[in-house]
Amino acid sequence: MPSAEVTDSEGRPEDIRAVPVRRPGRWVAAAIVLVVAVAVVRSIVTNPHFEWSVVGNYLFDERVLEGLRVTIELTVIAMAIGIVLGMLLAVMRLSPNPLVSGGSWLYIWFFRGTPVLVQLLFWYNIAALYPKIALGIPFGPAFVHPNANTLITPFAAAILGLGLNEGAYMAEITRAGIISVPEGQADAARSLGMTRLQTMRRIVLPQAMRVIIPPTGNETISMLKTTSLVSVIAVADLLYAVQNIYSTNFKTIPLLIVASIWYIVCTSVLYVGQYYLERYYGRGSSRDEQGPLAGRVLRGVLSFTRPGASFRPSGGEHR
Amino acid sequence: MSEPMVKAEGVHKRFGRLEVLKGITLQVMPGEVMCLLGPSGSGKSTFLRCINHLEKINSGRLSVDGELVGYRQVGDRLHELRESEVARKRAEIGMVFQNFNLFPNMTALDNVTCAPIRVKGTSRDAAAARAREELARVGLPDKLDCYPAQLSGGQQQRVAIARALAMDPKLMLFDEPTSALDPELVGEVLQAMKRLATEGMTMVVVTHEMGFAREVADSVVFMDAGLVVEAGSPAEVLANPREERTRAFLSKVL
Repeated sequence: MPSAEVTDSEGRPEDIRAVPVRRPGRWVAAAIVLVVAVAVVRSIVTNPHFEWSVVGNYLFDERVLEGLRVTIELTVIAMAIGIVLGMLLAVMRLSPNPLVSGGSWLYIWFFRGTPVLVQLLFWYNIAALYPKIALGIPFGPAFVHPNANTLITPFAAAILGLGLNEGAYMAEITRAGIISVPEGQADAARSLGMTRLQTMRRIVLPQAMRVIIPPTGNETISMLKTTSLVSVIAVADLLYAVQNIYSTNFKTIPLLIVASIWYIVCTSVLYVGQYYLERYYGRGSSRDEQGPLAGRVLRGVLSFTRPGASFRPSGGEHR
Repeated sequence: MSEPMVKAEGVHKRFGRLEVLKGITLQVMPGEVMCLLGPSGSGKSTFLRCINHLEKINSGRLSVDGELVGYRQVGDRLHELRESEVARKRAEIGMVFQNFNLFPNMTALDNVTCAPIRVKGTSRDAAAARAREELARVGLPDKLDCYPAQLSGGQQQRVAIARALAMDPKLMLFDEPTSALDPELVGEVLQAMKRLATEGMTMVVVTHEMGFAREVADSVVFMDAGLVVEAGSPAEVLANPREERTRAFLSKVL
């Protein structure tokens, strides 16, 4: 009978080497996935209606790139407004003053309760509701009163519609982050003499970021695609640009593919950005150091193909 | 005779309808180490939190270093202090918590320098030098760049003590500082507290460490159900308790 303790040449205990359990179900599932994938790729390559040459011709067309620029600009500005507004609304919502928290609640209720497309159309037609917009003392004299139609251009309507709507969602995300920080953290900060504002800014919010960032990444990706709605109010975004082109040359599918490629390129870039942001705000949360993104993905793939390894990548990229 | 550092007269505290403190009267003199003992729910921690105004008292008078906590007396009327004034007073009182409450996203060094920089306006370099000194004094000169998650419980609590001391407090409050620690790690924290006591720091310590109370405390207060049952020197209260309630409690913990 062999001894229970097996040691290698240097006297260290040897790793167990066992015959892995057979898993026929996995092989069947993998075969099905492979067949479907091959069929899809074959169809994409062989179906002439995709007209890949047309896609190639228009991918870097000046009008498409200009539309892409507008889409990115809308996304960045609307998200910036959303994040700042969301933070403000979240802090208001947690205020002990019922009027302040009630106001925040009402805002969130309204902007989450109506479709963003309706809100966009509303801002686009704001001149019908308020022909003149006055800036001055409430109920008192106005200093400037520009015409609503010149102030609220389609682009401004798009920014307002997307940004104010996003603020409502970001408010709930930020609030979730803030209440996820244990109360003891605020106790500790206040016992050291920090004011409520300092505690929020220096101690609570940086920790809340860990919880806030993943859904914010989600929101940014979602926003990038939601901007395509602005084509209905004549803002020349990416979708609007390709629609303009295919309305004259009738190459509908290839041009929609052009738009899809650019959307997917942008969301992929956002993925990478989110990874590094999460790592920054995750400082101190884990005992082991995390390497750069590419290394972790590579390790995940290698662990998939390593003989005897489980089918699930052991790297953290399987969420 | 000098002014007491902490003076409580008939301090009451309610949470909704639950009365947690039912009239606490006691004094802590400068340089004194007072241990608050008693069963859970007796109000020890709440009283400690009242001293630096993390909790508002409902009636009675509570003052630190001759000044009311949270209020200013003008004539015979009390005016609530502004947030910034309360914060300034809190900055002079150090507090150490049962769960350490270190800031997990900052290194040990940043935990200690954070308040001096943000609250006192100390320069970054001066704060870092002071933090190194304080961390060395609690026996952690080589853990400056560690995050709390990389430290043991005892090490975390010693960083928390260093963090409080870096603000030059005139009074230190300890809220069950060793209750969340493995028995093996309790000693290193008590050691740091003992050193502080011998240096003359005024300390109010909520604890279940009878050995520490007997050895280090100048006075011991036994609380139960929101009231002070018995107070006196450790020899009196721990060795010869007068009250039946005190005796019953001590027989269980000793």
